[in-house]
Amino acid sequence: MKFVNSVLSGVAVAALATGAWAEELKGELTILNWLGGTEGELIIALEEAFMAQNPGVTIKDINPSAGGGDARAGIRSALLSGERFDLLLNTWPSFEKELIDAGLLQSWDGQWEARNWSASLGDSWRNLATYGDETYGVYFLAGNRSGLWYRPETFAAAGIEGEPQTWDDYLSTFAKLQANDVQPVSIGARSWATTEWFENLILKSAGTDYTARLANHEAKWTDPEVTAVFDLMRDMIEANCCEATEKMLAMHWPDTADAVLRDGTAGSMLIGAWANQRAAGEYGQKPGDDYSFFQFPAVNDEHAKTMSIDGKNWLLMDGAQDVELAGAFIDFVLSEEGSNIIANLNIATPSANVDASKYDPVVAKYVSMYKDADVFFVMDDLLPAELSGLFRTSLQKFLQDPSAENVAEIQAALEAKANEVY
Amino acid sequence: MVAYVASWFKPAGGQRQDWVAYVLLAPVLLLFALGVLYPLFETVRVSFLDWTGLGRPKPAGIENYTKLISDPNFLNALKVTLTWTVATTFFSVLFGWTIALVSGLDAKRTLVFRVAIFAAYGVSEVASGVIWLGIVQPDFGLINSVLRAIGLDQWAYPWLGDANTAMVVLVAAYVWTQTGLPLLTCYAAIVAIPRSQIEAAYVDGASHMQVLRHILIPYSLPGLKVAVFLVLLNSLKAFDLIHAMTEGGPVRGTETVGYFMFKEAVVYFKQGYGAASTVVLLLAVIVVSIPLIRERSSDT
Repeated sequence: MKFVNSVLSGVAVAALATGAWAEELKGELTILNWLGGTEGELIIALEEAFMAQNPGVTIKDINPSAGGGDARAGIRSALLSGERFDLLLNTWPSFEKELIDAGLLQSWDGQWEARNWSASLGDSWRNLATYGDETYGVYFLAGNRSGLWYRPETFAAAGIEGEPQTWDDYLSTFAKLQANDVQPVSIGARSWATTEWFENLILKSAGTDYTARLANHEAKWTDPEVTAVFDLMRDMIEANCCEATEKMLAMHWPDTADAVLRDGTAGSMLIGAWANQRAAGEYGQKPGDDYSFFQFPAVNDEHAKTMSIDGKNWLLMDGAQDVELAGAFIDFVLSEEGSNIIANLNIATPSANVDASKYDPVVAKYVSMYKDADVFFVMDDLLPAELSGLFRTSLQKFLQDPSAENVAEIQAALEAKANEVY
Repeated sequence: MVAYVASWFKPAGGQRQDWVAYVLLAPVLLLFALGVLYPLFETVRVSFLDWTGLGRPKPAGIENYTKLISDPNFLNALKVTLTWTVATTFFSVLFGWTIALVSGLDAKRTLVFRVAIFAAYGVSEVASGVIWLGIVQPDFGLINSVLRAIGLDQWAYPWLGDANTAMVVLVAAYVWTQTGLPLLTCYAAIVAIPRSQIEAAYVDGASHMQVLRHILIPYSLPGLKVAVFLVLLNSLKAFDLIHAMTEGGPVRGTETVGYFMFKEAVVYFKQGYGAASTVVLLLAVIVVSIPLIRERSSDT
């Protein structure tokens, strides 16, 4: 009997240690998933792997209407029409704040501590989604928005050695590329891509603190720091960096990727990490060999390590049916298995559990930069939607007329709008 | 069956039973109330609110309307809408009417042509936008490729990157999709002309031009009026094509009131402000519709 008891006790301890006694996960999790392309495939892959691991769990995706190019509109429609879901994918901090203010989200803090997510995610990632004292978002994807994408072959043919480190280095590549019949830069200004230039220039010239103050309207759009960015952009235009204004205004970001990476008719471009998926997926190019990126050159040495990033996180809806189940899914996403599913699709994750050797050389290069960089979330996503709209059209106006007088008008209009919306 | 139902309304020798008519109309009235009146009422109600679509709306009184009339973007949208509506209506109706008149002279030999023109009317605006994007793409688009092929490189242009040329391209694309409608209504009016009348004119020695001027044009006018009305209304509401091709740009250069409304309500999340511009657009549609509705009512 003593022996039997000992065996049973041993089995019980072993079972507890392996988690076999933990209650088997059951139930349904509903996710509002608006992602498409490779990221859309990733979410499905994560869901399928989680369900395979937990046969009692089903995950249902709700795909909102397209919303005319802005997924927030589709999400709003889903919320207004009474759709009920547990988790929401998000990439706009300003929208996250709006959802919190409307009482539609609940904090992850309980799950965060219970599941020790701090072991997987650094404090800076937690801080990005912390409002007041509570954390509402769990980041699982991260993108580099400071990479200037190019083809090493194009640069080598123009006699450009190494990657430009400073703004002057960068401007000096223009003449070499032009001499080789290559347009130095391609900018698709039809929609948002011009904002990337402004944001990187303000980060590199004025730093993350100033940019944060500008995004929160604690600094003014009429400040000399903002004027200086327009001056730098004017320098580029005067150095014949780009396509004719009308052509820039007719182009979207994929057109610039075509010009730089596919056709080699332009030298570099700034469109975020989507370039990687497009080059590898659509053009069948080899990362690192056929195409690569260099970080946006330093303008002011003091702010040389600044880096614009984007990210996607999971928000927990206030009416979530089963917070434990939602937490278990996020736990899986951040785990080694989940992180490697992400890495296998060549998408960067901020999770410390990822096996970085699974990344291609291009993703590995920018992931390695995260730890030393002074990161700042992409500013356009921090601005209220209306100001963001004016920001984009203002940069189009600037391309049409880069004169100092027009810049002054643009800055005044942005400041007036900021005064109205904050 | 029809006679049986009709007998409910007015039995032989009996009194009218109006309640039966109301019972029969009830499903339609209910659908009309749910599908038209309720959204209309809601739009008007929301236009007096300050609301992002999330959280509690705040009453805004007439502020959305007062802001609207001093908003340079709205005034620009009104101007663009006027240009857009006049241009698309004029050219669609002109082409449709002309083709209908020519077809009226020889229906058989123009059949394939008519079908081809009308088929474009069946193409969705988004699909049309995608087709036209391919035509005007700066590097590999049909127009620029042809221009380069015939040595007119200097004429190749990023058509959608300039507000003026973007508007011309949009109008062309829209006219391409809309021409089938006036063609249909005008041609329907023309085929209703007794053949004997046209044949008699030819027997009396009338030329094609005389038949056109004295028979086909006057008889096609009712169809023309309907066409103007319908194309005008379609143009005022146009959205899909603009969204697919220019998104209202560059720099709001092709932003109609309909697109302005979409941007304010859906992109910038100003539900009340967007609803106010919807109400203004609705009033414009009503103003445009009244003369024709009155005329049609007097015809009957």
